[in-house]
Amino acid sequence: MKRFVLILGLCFFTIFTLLPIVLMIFLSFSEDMDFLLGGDLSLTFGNYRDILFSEEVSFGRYIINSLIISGLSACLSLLLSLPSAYAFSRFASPFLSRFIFLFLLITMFPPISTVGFLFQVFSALGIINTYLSLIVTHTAWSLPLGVWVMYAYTEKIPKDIDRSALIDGAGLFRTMFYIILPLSKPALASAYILLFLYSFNEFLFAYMFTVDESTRTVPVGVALFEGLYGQIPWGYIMASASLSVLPVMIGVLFLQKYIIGGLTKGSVR
Amino acid sequence: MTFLKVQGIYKTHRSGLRGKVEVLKGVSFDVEEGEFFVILGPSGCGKSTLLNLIAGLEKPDKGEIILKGRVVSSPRVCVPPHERDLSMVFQSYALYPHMTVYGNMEFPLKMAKVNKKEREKRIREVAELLRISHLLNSKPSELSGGERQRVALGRALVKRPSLILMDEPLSNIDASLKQEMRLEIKRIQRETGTTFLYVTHDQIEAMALADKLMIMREGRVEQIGEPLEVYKDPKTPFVAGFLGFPPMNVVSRKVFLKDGKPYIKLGNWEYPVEGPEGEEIVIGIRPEYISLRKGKSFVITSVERIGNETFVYLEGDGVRLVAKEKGGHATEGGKVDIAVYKFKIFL
Repeated sequence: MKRFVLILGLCFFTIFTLLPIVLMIFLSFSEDMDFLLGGDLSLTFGNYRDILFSEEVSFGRYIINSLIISGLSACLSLLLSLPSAYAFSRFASPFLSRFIFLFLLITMFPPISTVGFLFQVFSALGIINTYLSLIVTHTAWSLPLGVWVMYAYTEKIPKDIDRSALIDGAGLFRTMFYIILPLSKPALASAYILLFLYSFNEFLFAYMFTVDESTRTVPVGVALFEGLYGQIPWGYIMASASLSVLPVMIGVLFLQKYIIGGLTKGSVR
Repeated sequence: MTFLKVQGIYKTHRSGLRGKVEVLKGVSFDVEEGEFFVILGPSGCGKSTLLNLIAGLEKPDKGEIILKGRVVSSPRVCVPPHERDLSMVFQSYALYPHMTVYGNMEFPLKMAKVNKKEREKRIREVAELLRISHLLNSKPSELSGGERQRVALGRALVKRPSLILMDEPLSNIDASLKQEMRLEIKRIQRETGTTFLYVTHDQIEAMALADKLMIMREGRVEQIGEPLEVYKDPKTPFVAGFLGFPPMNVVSRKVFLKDGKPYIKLGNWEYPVEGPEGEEIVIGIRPEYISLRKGKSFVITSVERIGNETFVYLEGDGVRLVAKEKGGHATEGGKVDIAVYKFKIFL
């Protein structure tokens, strides 16, 4: 009975999470939505062809913009996260390190509270509608998440290893570069995926700080399809959404081996 | 010139909610060059903190550490660890898991900017000394506990330091391997002539390895001396109770007068002492210096036969004693008298 309930629960969960994705892929291949109302179903690659090659829609450009912005902001965020997390883990007093969770509070601030101010600043600096504005914002906004993930991991690296490196003659930076950084590969991979996803999915800042398709990211581009056609082009939206999942999936599959490989060989004793 | 001089070291740790804990309370001792110096004490007595202070990983609140005539630690001075000409072997080995054995041993030499040819020569030499030449390309995760221990020691030796600090290096190794590693460590110390400062809570390890032994308790030095001297002549009841297995029997007796002369009494055993009537005297008797004979003063509460030795636990005259016998005629519940061949009075 217990097993039956478990299987039923898992089935429900699987359907619940997979159904929208299956529906998304299915709809991306259908010519129109009439079949949902009982009309005929006709399958086509037209949606993909249109969004990738038509001159009206620059989806390819959105993907490239998104990859550049997310890739760079995740890199930058990671670059800053590791030293901060390491410092927090090794040099913060026991009292202070109890409050590292406050870091996470920053991520819970509604982005809308700062977007107006940032818009003014970026306008004054003349960087609206550039990659820079989004890279800076996404880096700043995702940094606490990066620090948190890296902190949790660096805390697990035995402190004797640092001490050993110190006695062996490595200073703070060399210890971080030669010892902590290579040992943190699995955490770096996990954190990179999280930071990349945050930036890849982020909408509000991307919507506010981009003006045309030269900098527009995937979520903004997809949202603006509606305005382009006067009615909701579900086929295009679904095809774009399906395509936008691809780079993320490739990234996860590629980094997965570091995540799994690294977790098993961290032990010292 | 004394090789290492530790003078009046005080250290307090501040830990979050527990507040201040005074870990070291005026520790002083000297280590001579080429000596195998062992610090022995129960967990939490401050011996690891002391090692960290000597290594330069922590700074004392008071006192001085002088290494080869140079003040390396004091409240105002803290020479960085790598400038102290020493290495350290940690309890957890602290090997770098992402590097091979060769890489682990090469790291301190790289940091010291030793050229590649010299690095390779030294690593091969030390690997041969430690019999780990065949492991040079392995990662730490592929090694057994004993092998990791050797690598950790190898990494300490390649630098050719004048002092090696070892913090309970054998506590993660199983008993059979422990003995083998003890002999190895002793052999390497003799062959290299390096000064070793070794911290442990295991009295057998301490007795077997030490040229000189220091016993610590609650942040203070209890006694320093050669191992056998400390065993035979413990200066405090704590040392008496800590060294030896089973530990020394430490009992408190009151002086009484017999024919006008002062005596102490333990069951049937009486001994003339000096002191006023009623004074409490603490005496220590090693289990091997008690022999049993027929009588009725003590009841045998338990008997442990361990190979060629037998530990006999006695109760009587308000105390519990343990005696060590070679043979093994004692039976539980039997009644006996004791004879004491040798004992120690603690003042």
